[in-house]
Amino acid sequence: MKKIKRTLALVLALTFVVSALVGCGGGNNAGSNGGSGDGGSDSYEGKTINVLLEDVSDCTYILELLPQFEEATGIDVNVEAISYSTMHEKVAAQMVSSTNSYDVIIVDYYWTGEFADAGWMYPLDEFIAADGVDTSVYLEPIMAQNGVTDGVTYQLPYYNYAMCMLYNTEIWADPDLNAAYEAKYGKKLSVHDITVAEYVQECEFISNYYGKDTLAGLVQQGGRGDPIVMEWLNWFFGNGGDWYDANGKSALNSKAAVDAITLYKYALENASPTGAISFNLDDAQMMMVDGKAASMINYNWQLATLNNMENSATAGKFALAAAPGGSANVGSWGWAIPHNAKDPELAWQFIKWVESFEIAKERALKGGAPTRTDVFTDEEVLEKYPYYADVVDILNSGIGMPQFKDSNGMIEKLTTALSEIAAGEKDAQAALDEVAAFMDNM
Amino acid sequence: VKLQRRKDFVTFMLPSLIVLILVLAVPLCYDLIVSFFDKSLKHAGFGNFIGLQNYIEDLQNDNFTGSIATTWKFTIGVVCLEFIFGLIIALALNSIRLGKNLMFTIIIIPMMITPVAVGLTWRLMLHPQLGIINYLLSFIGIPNISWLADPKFALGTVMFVDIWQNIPYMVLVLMAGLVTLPKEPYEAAAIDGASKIQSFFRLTVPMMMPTFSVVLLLRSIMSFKTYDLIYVMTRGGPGTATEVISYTIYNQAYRYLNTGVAASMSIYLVLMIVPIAIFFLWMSRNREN
Repeated sequence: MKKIKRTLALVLALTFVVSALVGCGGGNNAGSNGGSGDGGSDSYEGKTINVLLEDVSDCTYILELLPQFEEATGIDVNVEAISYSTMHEKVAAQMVSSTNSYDVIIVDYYWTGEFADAGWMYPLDEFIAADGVDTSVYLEPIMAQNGVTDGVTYQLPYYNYAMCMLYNTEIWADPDLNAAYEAKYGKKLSVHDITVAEYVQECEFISNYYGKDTLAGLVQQGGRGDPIVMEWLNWFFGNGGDWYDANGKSALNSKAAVDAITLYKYALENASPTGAISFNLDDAQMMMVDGKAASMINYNWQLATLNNMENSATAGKFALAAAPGGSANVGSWGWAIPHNAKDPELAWQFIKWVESFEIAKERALKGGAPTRTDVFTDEEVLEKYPYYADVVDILNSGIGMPQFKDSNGMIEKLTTALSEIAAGEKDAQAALDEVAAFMDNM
Repeated sequence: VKLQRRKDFVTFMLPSLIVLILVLAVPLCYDLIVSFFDKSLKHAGFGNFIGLQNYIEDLQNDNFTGSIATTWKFTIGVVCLEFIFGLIIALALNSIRLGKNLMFTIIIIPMMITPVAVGLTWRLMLHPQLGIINYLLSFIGIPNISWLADPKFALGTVMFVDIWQNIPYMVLVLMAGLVTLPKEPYEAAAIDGASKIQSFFRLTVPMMMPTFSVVLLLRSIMSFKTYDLIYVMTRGGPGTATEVISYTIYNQAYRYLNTGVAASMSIYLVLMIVPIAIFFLWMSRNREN
């Protein structure tokens, strides 16, 4: 009896060890398949990843293409698309827990420094090398802010949000309006090669001509938070400003910065619709679509959205020009894997797919904002969106975000200061001096 | 008998005490400890011990001191107005018989909507260009008003929305108090020739004092912590016109990632609320005695 028991126990133990070894083998196999990039659907069948995205048009295009990925890999993808305003807190809260709910996140260009400093992103270099992914196809300014940090590749660029002027061509070409402007200033209205001051002058004229609450020359997004900073940076760079001066000190309190916010405030009061100091991206977009504003400084990808808006009387009337002053704020998003992601290998499969040339091109053809040069120069893409050639120029001539460790906090400090100045609570120079001191202390 | 009492005390009180300690005392103590460190959300651990530095720097922070003032203005304004209007509505509802339930159901609808939905809906209605409020006002010749964009109006507008949403809460609690009042004193007062106003001030108010204390205390605490409405409607702007203390704490915790600073600011918030709670509880007990 004892012998039988001992034999049974031995058989059971052996079975357990063998099955465990088989299980390990299966896991490794799946991993190696994925890593080499030829992972068949069998390896990932039944697995799920969670992806956090911002609820914008580029997200819609990915959702439309997602079945291709799921069919090819067998991986189910849960996409959580949320508004920008809640993204940072959501991501930050997940980063400090032992495991992350998200396998793939997107990182705004001014979060990069903070995320890298906190060690919140999983290095992608090994995946890139194993799969032979060519990162040189990305535009250099974008790769610098949403790609490599301190020599480590933490992100692959997702979409660009280089800012530019979006304008209603019908209004700017209005002969009566142009004649009136010419009678006063001796020249016609123009959106090309103009300074920030000239742009404000033109917009103020249009607002006075029609009545600023009927048709404003421009609509600003002066709401406290991200909008006012993103927009004001164009006015600052267009005025010749930059983040740092020649001595490596913050230039956010320079003359160019003070002049820019002074002009910005003047435009809010005299050229923008009433209440624009509280507007955000959606408000500005609605005003353009409703034909209540002739122009806005906004993200280039908005052009496709505005021109393709269903049931809009203004659809198809919008065009894009470089931001006044010629130097725009060049923003971008990047794909990253959280440091505490459950299965980075699986997450990489998604990033590799979504950033492949074919998918990046399909996204661009739907109206997405590319980051790859080969997509920007693709004939089919250029034929559909000829203005992408201008977007490349804007991207190359614009100014991005230097990577510093508390970048998100600095932007919060800047947005509060700009909002206080715009609301008349603080003197421009004094408020910007505080921001510059904060930036220098970081 | 004494031993049995002790056993009963342990049996019945200990579970409640443990729950209370876990739910209330532990987070509060943790917050207090964190407030003495330069803890950041970016890094694991508490960081360096810096004593009272966070507390001192909070008081030197214009945004924080400004937000304390705004929070007081907001709380006093909304609680007083909600109480006055809530009491008027509760008294009116208490005196009618026909359609009382229907009226009551309609009145409590705003309370059932989440503050985020309320904020978004009102934000659209108050939109200076596309909102229905300005559209309706235009018929009587009033030009576009920047309800949320003008520093003069912004705080008042947010307060109005808060009042709109929370009056039902006042009505609900005050109604519950009014229906429990005995009828005999009112009948005696009527026989003695007391007017309705005299009955209200001499009978209703004294008898309702414990209810008043509780409702004022609870609404004051809720108002001090208001966050979602501000976040959705103004994000503290324009400038810092509507920045309340909870929003400043949120910014420190999730934008600047300064957990230590956010913790010390939270302690200031607790210190602001505790005296109010003591005052109302004292008022309630004093009246009962």
